[in-house]
Amino acid sequence: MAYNILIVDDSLMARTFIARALEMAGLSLSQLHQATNGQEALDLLQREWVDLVLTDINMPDMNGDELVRRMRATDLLKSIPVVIVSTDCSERRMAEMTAAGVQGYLTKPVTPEDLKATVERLLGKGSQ
Amino acid sequence: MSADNIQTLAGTTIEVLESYAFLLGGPSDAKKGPPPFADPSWLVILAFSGSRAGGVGMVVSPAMARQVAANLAGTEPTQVSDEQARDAAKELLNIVCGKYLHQVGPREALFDFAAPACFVVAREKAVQYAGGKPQATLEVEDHPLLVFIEN
Repeated sequence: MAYNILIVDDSLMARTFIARALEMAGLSLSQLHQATNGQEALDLLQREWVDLVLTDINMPDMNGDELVRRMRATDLLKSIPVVIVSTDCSERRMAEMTAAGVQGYLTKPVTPEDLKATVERLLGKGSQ
Repeated sequence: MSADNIQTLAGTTIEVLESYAFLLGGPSDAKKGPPPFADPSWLVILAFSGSRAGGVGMVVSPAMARQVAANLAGTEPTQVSDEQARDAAKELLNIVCGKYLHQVGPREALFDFAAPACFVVAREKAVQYAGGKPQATLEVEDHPLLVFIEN
């Protein structure tokens, strides 16, 4: 099984870094989608099959909190695992996001090892 | 913000540069001083509110920001656009700020972050902006980097 992953971050360099880290992690990727905010992500999720969402919190137009809430309130999307990838390392924020329904929380700069462990924990081990 | 915090910010910046952008840095040589800033330089600022209000900033040479972007993307600095370099500088400060607040803030602290801003300004104005604020000048692989704390 190869993964379809969506990276949501308003920073192009952050998305590039995460995409590189996923490749370096040796994960089997089928498709890597990108969106610059929560709204773009929701639009993409309506037309593309995605196994996992990696999202930042602070973004313009629609932030990561709202994206998670909307996904959890939508039948089609509520079972898709969401992992936060953020600069915000506060324990309260992590607790808030966990309560909102995210399955993982990684702090930037994320490492290929952390990404691999998180993706495989949530999706199982993929194959080429 | 205590005077110790600038040391924490400087240390965090060095750590993030190494782990995120694969660049080695350290405090500038006190006798020799840092390499000169480019003119114009980039002034990058990030404000936060919540458990504590304030901000952090940095004055960075475009060449160093280009190097950061190139390392993140696995390409050469000559292939990096100004937009990509500015984006890399803002993301760098974003990460530094998150780690810095985690170290200096109380464990239960909660912050809201504004979007980082990057201004192209004359070298003198950039350095002047940081003047009087707690600041540290670093040397990152022959590039100068000034980090400072607001409030």
